[in-house]
Amino acid sequence: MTVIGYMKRSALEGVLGDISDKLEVIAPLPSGDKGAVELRRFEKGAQVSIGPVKPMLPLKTIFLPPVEQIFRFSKSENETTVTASTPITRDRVVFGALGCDIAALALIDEVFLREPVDEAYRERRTRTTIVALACEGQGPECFCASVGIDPVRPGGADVVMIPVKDGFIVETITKKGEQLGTMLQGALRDPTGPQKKTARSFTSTSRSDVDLSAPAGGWSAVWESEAWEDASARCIGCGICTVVCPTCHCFDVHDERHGNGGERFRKWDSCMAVNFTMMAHGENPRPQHRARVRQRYMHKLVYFPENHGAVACVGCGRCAVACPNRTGIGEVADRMREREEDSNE
Amino acid sequence: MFHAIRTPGRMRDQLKDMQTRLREIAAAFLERPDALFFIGWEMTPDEKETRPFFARNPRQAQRLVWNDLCHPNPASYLPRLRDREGMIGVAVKGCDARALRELIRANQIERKNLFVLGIPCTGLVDPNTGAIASRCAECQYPVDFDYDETLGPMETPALTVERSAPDLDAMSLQQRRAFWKQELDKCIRCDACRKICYGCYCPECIFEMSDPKWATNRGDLADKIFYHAVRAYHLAGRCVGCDECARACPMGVRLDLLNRSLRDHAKEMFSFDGAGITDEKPLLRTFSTEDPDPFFGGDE
Repeated sequence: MTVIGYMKRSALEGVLGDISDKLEVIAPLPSGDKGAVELRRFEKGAQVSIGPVKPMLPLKTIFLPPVEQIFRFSKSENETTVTASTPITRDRVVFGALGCDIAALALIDEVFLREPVDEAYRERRTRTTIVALACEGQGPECFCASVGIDPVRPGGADVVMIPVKDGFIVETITKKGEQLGTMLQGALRDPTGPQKKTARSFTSTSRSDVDLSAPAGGWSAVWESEAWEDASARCIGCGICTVVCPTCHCFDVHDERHGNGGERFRKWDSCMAVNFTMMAHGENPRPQHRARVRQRYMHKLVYFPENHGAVACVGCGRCAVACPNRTGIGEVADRMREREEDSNE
Repeated sequence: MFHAIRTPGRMRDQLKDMQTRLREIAAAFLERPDALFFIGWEMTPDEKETRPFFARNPRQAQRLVWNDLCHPNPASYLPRLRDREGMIGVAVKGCDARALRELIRANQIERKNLFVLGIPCTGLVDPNTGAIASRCAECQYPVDFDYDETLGPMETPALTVERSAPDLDAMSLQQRRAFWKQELDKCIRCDACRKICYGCYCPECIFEMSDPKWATNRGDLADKIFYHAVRAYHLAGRCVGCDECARACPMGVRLDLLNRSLRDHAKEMFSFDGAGITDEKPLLRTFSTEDPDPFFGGDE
């Protein structure tokens, strides 16, 4: 980690504009009229929304788009043409990524960069530089500190911007980060002593008391527990928790034909959907709502740790915010541990 | 608390008394040997909103609340519970009761398996703004239902009838088209609106079918419009205006306006006013040669 300078907040849009001549720039931009924020392509003249609002859709959208074409096909009288799609055409930089979302990429890497490597995902990952915004906590739902994530200098970031008065202290972490650092040089000044001190002592308000640990006797002990009945009673099964989750990565592949041509694409899928486990022969091995709810938590808290060594939750708290019933993973883990009579999640 | 902003102290005391009685009635119901659970509301963990709560015993009934934040519609859970053996208790405010009437009429749940507690509603508060919820400001329907018990006379709420902005009828066709394109493009097709809707009880939704495949999965604007248009038309004459779809939408799509237009059109074109209120045949199950037909230019 190297401090490369201080950048004024007011200089940010100008810097991003300059960089966008060389790279595709993605940044948190205002979305709609209710103060919401969305990670999308930055165009010159746009105002960046960097600050205490978490984008509803996490960083994974940049690497695993909600809908992604794999190839196109067309058929003429005696020839069928298949054209592979290009995942991205330019190198990219994401500005203002949050620690929770960056940590989630390491978990998705476990799945997509293992053999057989997912080439589209790999290309997006290797051709994207990640500039983190040191996060002071984006809301009462934040609990990344509870799952061992450093929201200030998150592992996986190439550059970190730490908010100080009227600007940021910029630190480079990786080689990729250093390359980006050279593009920022024009906007950087030497930091003052107090600025450096603020950056060093920057802390987050993220909760550290959310407990995702297993119930006594392990998760297998609660497999048939009536508590799942409670946990699924009020859940409407909309699956928005899986949409906003930075670590959920399941997809389905579709072929759609239009006339003599068509396309194959993949699209996010959700374990909360009835059709998620629907077989071609008409059998659904997970037909009950409670089994689908259980699957979501078991995957996050049991199967993923068994296969990849870490809980598949980064403490962003989006599930509890987006859920029409405000049910978050921490609350469910609590209830399953207590298995108290009063549980009703 | 957010709701302190609108509801005056005297009324808050009244709500508190109603909550006490709600708990007593639910607890008494749950003493019955055939009682499965009582569906009402409890506070969310941050205490700023409420959410549905399934009380299973008299002790859990003490977690039930009644206040001006009780937005969720407990009746929407009933279709998926219809095969349970035993009695289900359910608390309903006006819009929920209208949904319940429609569900019973559509044979989605049997009246004899329900214990229905009617709650006179004086209007709910939007937890984000502290102002009266827009659907409540527009609510003008009396609620007629054979309740097992009520917490008071089930009267029409005495609220000022006012329409929330924007006024779509004041827009030109082009403006309206542009408005809906922009609005529906926010949709991420998570299906929360469909899953929370009391009226979306089809065992298999056309958007879940793969053979025949009615809808594409691409997720572009045309697909989003198709999805919302199909859903809206299936709910014409059935939507009770509980606005749960708009509340559940994570992207803030104004589905309340879409449903309001349909209710308006049902009234203007077919003189059909308000699902869950009359025992008239459902709008989509009636046909008259006198029906207006502006789409094909027959008459305006």
